[in-house]
Amino acid sequence: MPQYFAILGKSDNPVYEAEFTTQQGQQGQLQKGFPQHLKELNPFIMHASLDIIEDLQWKLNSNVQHGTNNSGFGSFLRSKNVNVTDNCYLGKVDHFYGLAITAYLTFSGMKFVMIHGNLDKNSTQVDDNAVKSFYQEVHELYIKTLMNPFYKINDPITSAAFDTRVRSLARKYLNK
Amino acid sequence: MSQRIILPSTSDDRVFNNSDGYEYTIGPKQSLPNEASSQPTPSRLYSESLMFRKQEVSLSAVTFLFGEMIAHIHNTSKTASECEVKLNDYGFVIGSKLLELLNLRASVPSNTYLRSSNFLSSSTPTNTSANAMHSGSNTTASRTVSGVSDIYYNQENSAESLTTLISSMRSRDLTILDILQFIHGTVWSYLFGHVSDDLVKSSERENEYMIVDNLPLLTQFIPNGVSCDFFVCGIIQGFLNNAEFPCSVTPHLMPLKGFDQRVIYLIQFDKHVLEREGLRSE
Amino acid sequence: MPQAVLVINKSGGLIYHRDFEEVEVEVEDRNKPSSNDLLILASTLHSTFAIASQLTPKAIQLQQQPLPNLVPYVPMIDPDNLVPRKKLGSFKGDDYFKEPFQNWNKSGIRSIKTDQFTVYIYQSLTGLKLVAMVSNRSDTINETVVNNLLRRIYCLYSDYVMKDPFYSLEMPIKSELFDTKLRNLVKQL
Repeated sequence: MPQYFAILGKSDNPVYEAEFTTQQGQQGQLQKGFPQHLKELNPFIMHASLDIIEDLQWKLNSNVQHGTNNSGFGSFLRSKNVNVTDNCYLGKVDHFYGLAITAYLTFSGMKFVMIHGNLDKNSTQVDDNAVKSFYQEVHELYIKTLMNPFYKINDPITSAAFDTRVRSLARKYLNK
Repeated sequence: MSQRIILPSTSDDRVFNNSDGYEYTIGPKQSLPNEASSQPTPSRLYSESLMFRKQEVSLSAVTFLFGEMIAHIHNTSKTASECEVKLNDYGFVIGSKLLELLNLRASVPSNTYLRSSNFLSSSTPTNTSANAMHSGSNTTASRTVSGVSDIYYNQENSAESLTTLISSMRSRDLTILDILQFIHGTVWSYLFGHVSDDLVKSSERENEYMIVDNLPLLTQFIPNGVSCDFFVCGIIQGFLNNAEFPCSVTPHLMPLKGFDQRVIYLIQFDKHVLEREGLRSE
Repeated sequence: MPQAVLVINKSGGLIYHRDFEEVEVEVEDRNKPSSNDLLILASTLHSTFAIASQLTPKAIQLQQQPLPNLVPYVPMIDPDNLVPRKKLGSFKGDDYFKEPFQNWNKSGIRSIKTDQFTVYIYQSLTGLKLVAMVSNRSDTINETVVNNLLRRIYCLYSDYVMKDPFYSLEMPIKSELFDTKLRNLVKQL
């Protein structure tokens, strides 16, 4: 399963983007990423889900509401199977032709968004626990970036160290 | 490398091999299979733990540094208001970064500190004796970094990632009261070593709240130094603005008997913060 | 209670002066020194001090045991503020210091005794002089107590004057905080 991951800043500007691809063990096989036409659509798909994220951002006790018999507006898209008490991880917020979109909000409202692709045309299943752990680890890396006195909030994160760490986290949690 | 033009998202490998970090003019990089075996780029910033370590800094050193900062701003500003704006901006950056850091630290369950320090420090008795010595009457002019620090040093190396200790993140603060409580308690303790002396809601205006400090730590040696408290205002403002609670903060000197330097930080939230809260609480 | 406290900078200029008016009114009225008189007094004291440090008798210089330099600590507790562990500026604990301290004034004048009053001088390592004038009528104050008082004033100076970003070195002290803290301190005597 390929993933498209992005950190969006205060004005929905990209702060960091990455594509994670499955690792197929066999040598010589092309690794499976998003097809070229989807690749260019990814940022658009992601931005389309931002309205839902911003609605959820200010939802008081968002955990109580979603359940199986929930019919509230916007929540029919959501699935959050983990029973969590925090409101940082929003779970699956949107979908787009079988692609699932999950989101996470940091304390300062930076949006971590990820599009989960699928290869075999089935609807994508998201492992909430793994995705949540991934987001939390990236969140900590992001805070470490903030501790850099030369980093300004909302600037793109161009550090190679950040990049390699995020990718190794993706391998650890998303593409086992 | 020398010429880098804006390219659309592309899978062209030539481009990716040249850059090492994220390049916003190019777009997302794809993970490569040979990366899996490679070592992560070494970086002090990312391998350091964010764990809270008990360290005390000499108050004299801090006030001298703060004094030099004021003197520098004073010399490079033309008007008093320019001075205040600059001071506010310095604090703003600190406040906005503290928002993320302190919330993450607050997510770590408090008993983890105890457990891990017991587990990691082979010399727990030293720890307690150092603390006892510290709390005793130490009347030298400068406060020294206590001996606890080398015990925590071991811990620092072992817990590179704090999230492994966190079962669930602290909830984002969604109401004015929640976030002000956090500032009153956690932020104040982190910055000044004690919770703020009071947190009051204005009886006259809906959008005004006040944080009271009986003795401002940084400006206590500066005569008529209320305008220097714009630094702390900046910290509060940066914290709240980044948490999407836009507001303006101003310091006011309100002496009380026994507390000649009592300062009130007046927080005025933008109207739409109240509107949002009104809408959401229904 | 001392009659006056002066602070003289290292080049002999008077940078701070405070009278304590618990002397009888008639004495005060008769001849209150003008600010010019005080400046002259300060610089005279400064030069006399400098000359005196050159005049130290050879006998004392050659003495195996130097003059006693250690001043014992005399506690001064504020009767109004008996709150435990009240912080004193950048100092920890309930008093500025609690150990006996070195007198850095090794070869200059330590005190001048006259019929009316006694002048005590405390010198810091940087050449700053703190002067207290004590009326001979108040018999409760001896040299040790005055030295303790002056050292506390020196602690106040290091907090409320040196840590003020708007103060330039060697200039007159205008800090209100220093003034009020000093008056509170003297009131404790």
